[in-house]
Amino acid sequence: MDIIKQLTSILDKNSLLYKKEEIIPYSRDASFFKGSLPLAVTIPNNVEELSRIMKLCYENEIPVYIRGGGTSLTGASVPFENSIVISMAKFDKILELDTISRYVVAEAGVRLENLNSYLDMFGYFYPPDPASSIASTVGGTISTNAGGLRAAMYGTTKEWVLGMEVVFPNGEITRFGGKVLKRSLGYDLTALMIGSEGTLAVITKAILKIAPKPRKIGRILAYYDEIEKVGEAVAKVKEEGITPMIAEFMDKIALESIKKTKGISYPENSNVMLILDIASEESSLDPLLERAYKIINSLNPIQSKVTTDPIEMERIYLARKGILSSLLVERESMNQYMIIGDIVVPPSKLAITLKEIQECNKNFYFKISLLGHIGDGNIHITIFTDPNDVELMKKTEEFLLETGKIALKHEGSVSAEHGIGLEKKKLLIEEFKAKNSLVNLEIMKQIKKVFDPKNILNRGKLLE
Amino acid sequence: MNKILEELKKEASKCINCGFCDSVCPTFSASGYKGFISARGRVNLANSLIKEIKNSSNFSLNISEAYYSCLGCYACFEVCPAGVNAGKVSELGRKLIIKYRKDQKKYLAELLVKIILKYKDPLGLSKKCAEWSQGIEIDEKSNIIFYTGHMYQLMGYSKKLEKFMLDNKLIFNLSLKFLNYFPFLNKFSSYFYDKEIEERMNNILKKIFNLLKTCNINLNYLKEKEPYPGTLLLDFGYEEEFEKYSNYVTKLFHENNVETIVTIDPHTLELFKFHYPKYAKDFNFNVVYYLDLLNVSNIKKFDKRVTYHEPCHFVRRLNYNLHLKILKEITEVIMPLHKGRNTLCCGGPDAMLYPEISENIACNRFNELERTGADYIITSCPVCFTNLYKSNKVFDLAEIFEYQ
Ligand SMILES: Cc1cc2nc3c(=O)[nH]c(=O)nc-3n(C[C@H](O)[C@H](O)[C@H](O)COP(=O)(O)OP(=O)(O)OC[C@H]3O[C@@H](n4cnc5c(N)ncnc54)[C@H](O)[C@@H]3O)c2cc1C
Ligand code: SF4
Ligand code: SF4
Repeated sequence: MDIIKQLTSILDKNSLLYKKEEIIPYSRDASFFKGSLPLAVTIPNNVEELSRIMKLCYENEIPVYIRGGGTSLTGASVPFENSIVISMAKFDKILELDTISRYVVAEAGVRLENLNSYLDMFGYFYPPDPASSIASTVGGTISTNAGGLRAAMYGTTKEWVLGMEVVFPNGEITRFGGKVLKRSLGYDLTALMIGSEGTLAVITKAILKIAPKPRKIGRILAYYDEIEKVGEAVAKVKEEGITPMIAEFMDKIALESIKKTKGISYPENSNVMLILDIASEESSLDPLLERAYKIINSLNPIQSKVTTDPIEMERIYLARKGILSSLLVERESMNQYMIIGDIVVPPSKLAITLKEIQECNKNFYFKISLLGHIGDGNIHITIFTDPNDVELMKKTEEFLLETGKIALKHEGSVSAEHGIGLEKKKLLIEEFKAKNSLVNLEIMKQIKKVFDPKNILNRGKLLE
Repeated sequence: MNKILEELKKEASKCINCGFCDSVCPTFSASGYKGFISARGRVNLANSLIKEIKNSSNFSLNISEAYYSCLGCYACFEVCPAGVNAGKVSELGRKLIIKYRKDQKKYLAELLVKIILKYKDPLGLSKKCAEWSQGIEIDEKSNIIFYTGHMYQLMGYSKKLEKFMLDNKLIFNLSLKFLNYFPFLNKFSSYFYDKEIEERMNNILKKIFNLLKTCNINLNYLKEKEPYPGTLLLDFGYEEEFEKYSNYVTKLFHENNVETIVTIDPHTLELFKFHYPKYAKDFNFNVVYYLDLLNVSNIKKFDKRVTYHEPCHFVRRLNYNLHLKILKEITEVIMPLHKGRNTLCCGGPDAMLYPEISENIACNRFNELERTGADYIITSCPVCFTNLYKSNKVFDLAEIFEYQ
């Protein structure tokens, strides 16, 4: 209780919550991991308050859990006992826009969709677009190096962060990077923060690169009987020197769920759908689109079409973006939960990887749905399971481990964009082992010690 | 506890905790981002509550703030991938409080409920509510009734009452306990009377009445006999009281040979369409909204550019948007960022119990409407009008309607 007393000297009463009913909402994120109730939740109004909270916790060695949108799928933002949660919600302002230098400065709690509605007024956008962009924040997405549909062309969050302001566990405030596109200043501390999952320092604001909105986008939809053809089609498009902006695939279960929820039908005899977006300046789109469409058709799809109608395109984009929601209708009971795997392989290995996953599931008998970003080889295996069934969860973990191993066999990775959190701690070690690089883990631990010698930030996650 | 709890479980257990609803819940930001005054928090609390009750057949959690602060705007439901409606969760939460944990009830709510039951109006003002009708011609034989539900009239009071509450929180909270025993609201209410708003509201009522008359519709109006519809009883979770009250109102309509009820605001329309049939016996009237009776093609063009604040009750609960269609016919409409099914609440439902939250939401929405650069800000609900009335650009839709 003492800590709460001390926190009241930093925060007004509206920014400090500690009654049970007030803090219950902070005990979970979007994963199945159930955290504990923290001692208190703080909602600092500014960086000074944040810094004082950190200092206080540091001196008292109280674990601190940083919370952005709380949409993590890995347990990364779940707190444990005797801790303090810091909510970044009040860091909700967009501070500066420079369209000539092409950057925007936004506070850590700004939600990506709000950022993009703002940039849209000026003809710009911030490309990372996780399907959670309505709720996920600048700070959270940097901390997990979030990806999204547009990563095929624009890459993940790491390509878009120029600099940031951070608060260290001991309360010290500093700045990494800056507003310029080029820097050669020794170790890249900005890069170190990306994917750090709230274990090193608290991001309070970030300088983000922005891009002009493509003038025109064309969307190709194609349905195939075999998943290999999708991989082949995308590879051929790329060989022709065309980089798709979005290249997504989804299997029959996913298609069926979209049919049920969004009324978008698909040819009965198809097993997989490919969505391919080609973006360009207005004048040059049509020939590009035509070339890509020809390639797509050369692989004998069951059905294919091309559209530039904004309404139709939006419908398809939203259906893909909302696929996790649609898949909910495929749950066999309310107890079922969808756990979403996040492996990635070199795109050329996609077809074989997908086949092996299906083979592997023959030992587990899970209902699964396969979909993902074919442009960058990221496969999301959606597993229908029950977090309250201990035995089943053991099996789920095993299955995730096996699929991780398949990805590693093909020189891929166990986590493409969701991060490690609590969920993939074992898998992370597997990956370093497979790459004969266990020393990496040691380096990471040493880095963690430099930033956070008392291990107060996100204790119990990532490396522990 | 079973029925309410079952319903609560059905709604809340679907949640996958994605947090999407928090991003659109107006009370989240307006409360200074308190997680329990937000959509996901409300659903989380419900799930904890269910667990607690399962283990100990009662609950110790204090759920009052979380559920009484919910606006019932249903913005959360629009974005929820799992089909959870945190607004519904809150409605059930309030019913639980009233049924099983009266110690968590709100004094002001309790007071208003008592006054409604006694005076058939939340402020005991039935007489005053009929004043607007002086000089209008009523057809007492008609079985079509013009029903105000006191909604426009009450707005003349709510604004000042809200300001008083904001300025005198402590005194007000103390005096409420005292007032509980002396509900002489007539006198008390006159203190909060806002002449300007009242006149404006009375004129809107007259205008709507006359628009209907011009379409040759013979209307009866019950004047001071007209009861308040009981919206707040249900909103505050007083289900049993609402059941009794709605039966009283229904009986009164029957006694007056009513066949068709013409409503003029979304709250009453919704109550009569969806809730009365569930609670009141023989509620077999034809319920219509006034706009549906107007000769729309005859409305004159309007020469100002307008923006339209779509009331959540119309677009999300009633799925009704004739207002916008008509506006687009008669003038240039510039819509705000949040529109259609993503419209933003005006904050009105929180005005009584959470005036600060309400005011934050109203300012936020008003600024968004202002930013459109339109000459006029139009709305079609008296609650929205009053909460957004922050400049003389704000108008009720009926005020700009003229027949050719
Ligand atoms: C329906 C759904 C769809 C999703 N789709 C995608 C997708 O397509 N692509 C994708 O990449 N992810 C996706 N995700 C996962 C999730 O949205 C991302 O991981 C996102 O980046 C988390 O952002 P957040 O703001 O919610 O962070 P949180 O969940 O609050 O936190 C995530 C981590 O970052 C840390 N953190 C948060 N803010 C800060 C800060 N300011 N400073 C330091 N550390 C901080 C936390 O401590 C935690 O470790 C999805 C999630 C859901 C629920
Ligand atoms: S949007 Fe729906 S599923 Fe997501 S947290 Fe809110 S209620 Fe739960
Ligand atoms: S109904 Fe409105 S106020 Fe209530 S939880 Fe949903 S979004 Fe929030």
